[in-house]
Amino acid sequence: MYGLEGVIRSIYRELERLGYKPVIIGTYALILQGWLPSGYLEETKDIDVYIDEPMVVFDDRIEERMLALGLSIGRSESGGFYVDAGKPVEIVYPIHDFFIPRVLLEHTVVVGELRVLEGHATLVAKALGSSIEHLAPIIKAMSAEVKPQRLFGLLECIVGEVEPSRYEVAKRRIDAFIKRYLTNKER
Amino acid sequence: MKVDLGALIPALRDWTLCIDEPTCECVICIELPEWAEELGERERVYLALYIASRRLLDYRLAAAMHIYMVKNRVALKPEILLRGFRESRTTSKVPRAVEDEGPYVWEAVLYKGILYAQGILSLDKPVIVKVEPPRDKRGREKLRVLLEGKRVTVKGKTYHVGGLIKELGGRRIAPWTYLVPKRNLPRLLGQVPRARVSILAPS
Repeated sequence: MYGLEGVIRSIYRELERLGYKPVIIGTYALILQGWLPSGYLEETKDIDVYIDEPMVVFDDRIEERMLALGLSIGRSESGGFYVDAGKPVEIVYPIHDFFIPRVLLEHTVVVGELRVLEGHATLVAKALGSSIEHLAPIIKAMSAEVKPQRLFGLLECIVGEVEPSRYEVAKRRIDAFIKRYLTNKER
Repeated sequence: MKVDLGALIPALRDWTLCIDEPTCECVICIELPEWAEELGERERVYLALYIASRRLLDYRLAAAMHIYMVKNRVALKPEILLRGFRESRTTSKVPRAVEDEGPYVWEAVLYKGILYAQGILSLDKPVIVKVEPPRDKRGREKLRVLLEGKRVTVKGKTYHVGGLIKELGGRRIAPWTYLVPKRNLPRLLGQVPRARVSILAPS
């Protein structure tokens, strides 16, 4: 785990040196903030580092820098960068109109030099793509305090940035998450 | 402005997309919003391809957009794409490929299009081809000349003639081992017995 963190920090620093503002997103963001146990990393396919710049996909310097770090780098099926850090690290970027709403990216915390998407913002971003209900009991067991009003507040912020139908689906997923989280809380 | 979609995706042969020419006879016409005039030509084409693929929900158009993006190294912020989509007008001679209105239909179409595009883009990448030469000397030399050509001297000047590998855009990297663009593999296999060829590392 320590080795992996070190490699991620190196990747992050190189991206910063190239002028980007990387943000750790997804499951790993929740792990770094103590919302999920570190063992949960085994459940994930990869670690996502988001760069809010669509042109990053054409930046050949990234490949050069990663190779200079002694890391293997390839391309994911969508054309993005995949870095082998023991666990694959994907450099995620807005591909056509798939993106993380900018208003969510304003909600970050710094964990050990890394800018990480804040827990509530991470859950809202995740809800745009998949169900998050299954995370509720694990987050509860980790004693992380999820504030339903904050989730709804962030959801309100993105209403104009995503398609109405996707917004509705995300809202239903967040409702289901909160319901399960609160039910678990009472037990 | 007109875009030949067949040049991007062979499956869209004879399909033309026109931008801001509403009275033309193209398959798809896109009228971009006024603010899009400030964009460069490549950005306008990319935006129009995005609008067309999203309106018609056709993965082949999404693939054309992705290939155009990669080949022209052009990208736009998602906000610009979405605004362009909302404020543009589309006229099409072909119906929507998918009638479903679900929230993730476009996502599925786009993802399928990207994978299709990656498959087409990978045709330009080289593969390593190892050829097993015949044991008899004459057959061996004949195959070598077919693949690598030969030197001829005319009036004291030496020329290199022939060579299938060169013709296919490939190069020799070691004895009987070549790099050949994946797109041209069928042509190589048409002239060299399949049993003699092994493709070592498709990239």
